[in-house]
Amino acid sequence: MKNSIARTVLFNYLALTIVCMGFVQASHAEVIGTEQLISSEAREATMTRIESIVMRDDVRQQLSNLGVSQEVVLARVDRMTDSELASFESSLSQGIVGGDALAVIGAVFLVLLILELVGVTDIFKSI
Amino acid sequence: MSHAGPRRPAHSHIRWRTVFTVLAGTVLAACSTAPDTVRDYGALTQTIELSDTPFIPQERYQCGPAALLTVLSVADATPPLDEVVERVYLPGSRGSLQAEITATVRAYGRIPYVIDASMSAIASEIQAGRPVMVLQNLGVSWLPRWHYSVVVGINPLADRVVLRSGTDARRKTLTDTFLRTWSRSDYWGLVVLRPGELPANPEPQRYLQAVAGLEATGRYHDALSGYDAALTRWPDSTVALYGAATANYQLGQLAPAIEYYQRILVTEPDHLSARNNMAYALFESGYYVDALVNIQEVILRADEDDALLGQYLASRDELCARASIIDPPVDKAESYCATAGE
Repeated sequence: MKNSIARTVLFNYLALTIVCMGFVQASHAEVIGTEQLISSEAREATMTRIESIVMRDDVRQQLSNLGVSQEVVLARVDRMTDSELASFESSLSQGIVGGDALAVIGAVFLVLLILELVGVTDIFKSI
Repeated sequence: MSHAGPRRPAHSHIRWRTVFTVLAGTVLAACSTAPDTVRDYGALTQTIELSDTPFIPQERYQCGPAALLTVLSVADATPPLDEVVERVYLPGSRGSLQAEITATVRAYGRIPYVIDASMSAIASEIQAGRPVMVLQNLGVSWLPRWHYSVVVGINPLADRVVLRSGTDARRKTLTDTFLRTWSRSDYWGLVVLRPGELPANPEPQRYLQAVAGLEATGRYHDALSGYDAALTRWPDSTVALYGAATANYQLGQLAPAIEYYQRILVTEPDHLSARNNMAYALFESGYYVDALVNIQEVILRADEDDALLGQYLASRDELCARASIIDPPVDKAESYCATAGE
């Protein structure tokens, strides 16, 4: 008797699990919505812009002077979430504006900013 | 360098502090007055005022709901104020967030479009008959007093703007004062569009993103109207075609969905999301072999580091699983699905 109750419980549990598994699968495989398309394209575009900054000759030179390879920087950028990436880019473009206005710092400042943002250094936190 | 410790010489700290101060100073100086490009009225030379705009006086701290209902009602959405308050007002912070406001606009089947950061952008919307909801900071940056209001009129000759603001039905403010308060929200301004309506100077990506928000919240009819409007303006926009296809698919209108996806694939055969979705539309239309051919093509063309690869594989597995139980059996289904489920 006890055994058969246990069996019923187990059976119901399994049935429910299987139903739930079905739902999980159905919700995962679906058409890709336009919003998702836009955000994945936006991420790619942002990555391309950041790459073009990191690959700049003066920036690359400074990076190698400091013994940091572009690959390290780009690999770290690649691991960022979308929102981290967005704030990284906005800090970076502000850095460029500042760099252009104050040509003295230019690439040096940019590179230090990049390194700070990808967490290689923490100069600015100590200010 | 015998000892490579984490500490740097003290003078480097000082140098960076100086650099940072100089930069911060430059940025702050740039913020104090609005640049001419922002201040310019554009094509507007005469006084204009949308006097018909309803006036909804705010209750304590609730400028967000009142301003939002004002712009909603101009777009023929007239929910009760209580309901809007419920949706956007955050009692804890005595205010509303921009994200809640755009989400609420979508909940009423309207398109929330954030305008460009300029007086001329406000002017062109008002000329098109749409008042503009703006976020201002009436305090100072270090002691903020955030406030939502609605710009209903501009007088370029006297340099004034007219606002529905708080309990003030017709608040006249000097343009420079207005711009100073507006600048502190990074010039956040919103118009509410009926589905099918385009803003005065639409920026394609931003507009389509706003419409995609409707699609993502299941408002496929409204989204489709938005994509159709986009296609009349930008007939070749991939995102607009994709959106129209996807909204049609979600509405069960498979033939137009397939047609739109195909239009993308003619020029961009590597548009894998479009091909992935088209496979679903084909499958559901009974073109099982075409569906399997296309989803296999997606997997073949996908890069290993494609962010959507997991989804493509799940699509392939699902379509193959569904094909395997169709009677009579789908011709050569196994050959398209040989690696499915791995």
